Amino acid sequence: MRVILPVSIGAALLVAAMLPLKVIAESELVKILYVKDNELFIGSDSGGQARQITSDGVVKFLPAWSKDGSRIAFIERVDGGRALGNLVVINEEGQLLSSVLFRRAEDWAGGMRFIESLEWLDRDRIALSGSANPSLTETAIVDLSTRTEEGGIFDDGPGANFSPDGKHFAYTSGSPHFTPESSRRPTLNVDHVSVFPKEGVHVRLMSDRYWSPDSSRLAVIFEDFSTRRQSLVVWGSGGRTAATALPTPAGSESDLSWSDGDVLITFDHEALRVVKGSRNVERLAASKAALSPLDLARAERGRLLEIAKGYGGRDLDFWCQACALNALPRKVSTNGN
Amino acid sequence: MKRNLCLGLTLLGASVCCGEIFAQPCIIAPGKSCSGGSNGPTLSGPMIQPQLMAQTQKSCTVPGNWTSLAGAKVTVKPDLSGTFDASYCPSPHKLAITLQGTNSFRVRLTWTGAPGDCQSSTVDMAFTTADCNTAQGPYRNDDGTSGTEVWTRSLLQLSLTRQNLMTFSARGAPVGGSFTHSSTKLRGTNIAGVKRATGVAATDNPNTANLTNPANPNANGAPAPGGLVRITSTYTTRDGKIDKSFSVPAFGLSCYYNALEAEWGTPPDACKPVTIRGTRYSGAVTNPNGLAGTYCNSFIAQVRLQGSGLTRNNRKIQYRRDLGKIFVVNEILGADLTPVIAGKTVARDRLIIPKNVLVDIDRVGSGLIANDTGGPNDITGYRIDLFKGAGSAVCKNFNNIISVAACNPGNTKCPGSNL
Repeated sequence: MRVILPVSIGAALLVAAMLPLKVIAESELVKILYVKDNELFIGSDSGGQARQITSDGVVKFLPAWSKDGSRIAFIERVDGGRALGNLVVINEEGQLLSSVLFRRAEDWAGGMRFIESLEWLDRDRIALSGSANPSLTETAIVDLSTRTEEGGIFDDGPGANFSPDGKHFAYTSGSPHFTPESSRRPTLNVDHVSVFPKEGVHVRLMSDRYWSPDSSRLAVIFEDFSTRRQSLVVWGSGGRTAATALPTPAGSESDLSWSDGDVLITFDHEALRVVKGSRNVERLAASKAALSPLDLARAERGRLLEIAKGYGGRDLDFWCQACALNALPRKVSTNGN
Repeated sequence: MKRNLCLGLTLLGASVCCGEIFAQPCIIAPGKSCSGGSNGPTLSGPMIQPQLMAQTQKSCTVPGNWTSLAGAKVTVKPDLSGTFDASYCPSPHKLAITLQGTNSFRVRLTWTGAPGDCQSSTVDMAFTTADCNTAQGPYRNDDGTSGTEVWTRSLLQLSLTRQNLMTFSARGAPVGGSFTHSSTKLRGTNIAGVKRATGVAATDNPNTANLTNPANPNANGAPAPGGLVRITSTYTTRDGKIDKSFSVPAFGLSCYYNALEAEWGTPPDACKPVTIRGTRYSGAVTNPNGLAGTYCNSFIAQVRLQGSGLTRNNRKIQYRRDLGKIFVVNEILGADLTPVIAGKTVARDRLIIPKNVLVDIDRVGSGLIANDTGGPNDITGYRIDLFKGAGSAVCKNFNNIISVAACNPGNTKCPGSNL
């Protein structure tokens, strides 16, 4: 654990002047958060006039709603390269709740080069991620209550995946950069414990890592490097890992999702259902698997992005009490995903 | 000003025009006056289908823009009226056409200007080529002089030439038109733009234009993806418009490095600690992973994490994860199994830039070697990571710009700079 130094007094001035142009009504389910002219605004999916909640002129990026929609985290740019950024948390009225200077310049070596994503894990913890090189991403967990940082969660990929409850994280190791494919040994880790495959077995990761909605299981597709046979690997919170051979190879276009405890693997023309608690694999018509929670969430996000164009801002984030969006992590990134 | 009508005779290199012998060839042209002239009647026949059959039975149409043998601009409207604008006359003739059979048409040129400047004329034309773009026939001026006239349909032409990575030039024909340049996103996010070069007007021909780099939209300067754009130049004249396009990629850049021993302190007592994947590395280690010598534990952890490094005595070392050993190597190999070169090697998405391709990137360099790649979700699409060597200092102050690029050899996703 690294203790984060208190931020300078200047950041306290962030307590922004409220410019209440409109109060969001209860009936407006989706709140739209964005940055415009370096200030934060809150709009809604009704397209009504937005409310400005900061007014200090400091460059801001990656704003994200907390899981309960009551708070907003974002990064302030720190001039002079003294740090990667200043992590700030405010409430909807723009009042400062927390501010921590993140990753001072002397701590940069070997770690993330920039803050490229921000994700709420729970009420007091936020994950910040950024790439270290073309194939390595570091994630650090900042605890707002203790002002400490746990860094060094390195993923040989786009960054660690956190379970929906924020208690677990998964990443891949064993594929250092400048390493030819034959010398790599990708390994799935959960909470810093290697869970798949056994030491010495050479596999390739064939899908993203997907947490079940209840955070108890993690699914990922691996391919045996020698036989090219693919398996769905499911890690359970009890520590057990099960692999189910797949009759159809997954490709880059395949998609994983969870459905009532089963894992759905969707291909172009069909889908596979890997039944919970067994090694049974059922074939489905692709149309039967088309409406996964993730698909619905992506569609809803697409709809909201269109609406939000009217506000003309950048770094958009959306929040709703109970809608399809909740299937997505509370994560924002600089590449817009 | 007296205008001479040529008889079309050439005597020992001289031309005979209106009874006078000229050392230089004189213009043979309908409607041109020797002396005086008369305003002949206009033959504006009834409206009929303005189509004729060429010798190949192709249906030919007269309306359009033509150029006469002497360079006059001929405009024929759909109703078969029009103008005949010759430089040897102070103003255009009026023109009326009567279709004759399936392959011929008669042109009546009516001079309405001052008598003596030019005169009226009648021309009997027939299509002479299957593409209907050439017509030829005898003319007879109202004063009785005559000759042969040839019309060539004015075809719009536009050619593009790339001067360099950021500049191209459009040349249009016939002259007298104007240019516009536009961009359309084909792939990706942040695309190049286009604008006329400084000081170049829309009517300048050739018309020089510059490509413009997109700005990085990320407020903290974090790497952002580029994209592929179609650049279209349009040339518009009285004859219509023509356009030509080419594609230009722009890549979002970042800089990366590998581990540098000096950055992690001095063993055994002055090592800088680091925490990686839940394990804290501090102090020194001797002969780690088969590498002879004593090193800071944190440096070795970085080598294992990042795959390679540079020791204090400039030895290149590479970690073999499958063997669990660190080797001293002559060259560190990239993902394409060829040596990586600081300042030259770039990591890219092989779906955009395949193996054995060199890349030119505006504001970065030319002949960059695309021999590295990244994770499936890191360096994808129009992103490029430039390897700069060992230690974080080599990337200090590197701007993650988005720049126009060209591949050599090019492909549809990353075209070259040759048009």
